[in-house]
Amino acid sequence: MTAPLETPTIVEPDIDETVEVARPWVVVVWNDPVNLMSYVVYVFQKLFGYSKEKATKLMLDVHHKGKAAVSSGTREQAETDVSRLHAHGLWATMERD
Amino acid sequence: VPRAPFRRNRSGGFDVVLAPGEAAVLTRLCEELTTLLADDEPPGDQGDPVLERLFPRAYLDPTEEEAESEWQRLVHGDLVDGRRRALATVEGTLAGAELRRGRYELMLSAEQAEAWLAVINDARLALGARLEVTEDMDLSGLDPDDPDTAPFAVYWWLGVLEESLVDVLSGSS
Repeated sequence: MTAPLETPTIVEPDIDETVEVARPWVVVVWNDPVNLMSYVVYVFQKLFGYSKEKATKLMLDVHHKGKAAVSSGTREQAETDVSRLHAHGLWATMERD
Repeated sequence: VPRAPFRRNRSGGFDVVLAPGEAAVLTRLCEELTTLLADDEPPGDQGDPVLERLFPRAYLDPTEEEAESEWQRLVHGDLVDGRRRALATVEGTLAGAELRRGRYELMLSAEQAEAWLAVINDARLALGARLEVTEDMDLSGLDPDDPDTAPFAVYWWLGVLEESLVDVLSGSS
């Protein structure tokens, strides 16, 4: 399925903004053998305001698939989320989407 | 059924009941964590699995080394301070516990209970990294008096304690 081509309108992009929008950063939480499942759910709810259902689904993804993307945003937002997760003892890293 | 160590009380806080041996173990774990957190500098590549677990990298990508160092420089002090504050709260509240009928009783505010959760979780992380525990280890029913299994028994007990605390903080009991 291909959309018909339109004549592109050239707009001078703001380089930094384009980079951030095109490649947001993703915060990934990795499975570890120590953290309790109930604790991980509690932390996801507390830090991100997720519902119990969403927090539980993310926790189960971490548990079964080894990792889950829990938030995304600019580099600064991702760095903040990673440090909050580390403060709560979760093993989190960040990467470009 | 043994009493849960943590219970929500009517004033919005939490009641804690610990056996004297349990209070002593917690006090010792606080001392060990305090020693572990004595250094203000990021752990770097010291090869210490416990410090690496408590202070992991933010960037997996090795080409982001500069961003990683900058991030460590910015947040490491706050991460250490947060952990030290939580430890001070747990040590202070433990020191104020009252011995009644052979058990230590104390009350925690919601904020203090969060500090307890942070410290118990850090203690499990540190112990788990040192003992190299795996997910499929069955650590229930170990003899806490056997020197070979005692650290694993402590690790297992911390899990029971933490489950109880998460349970009351989540409001499900």
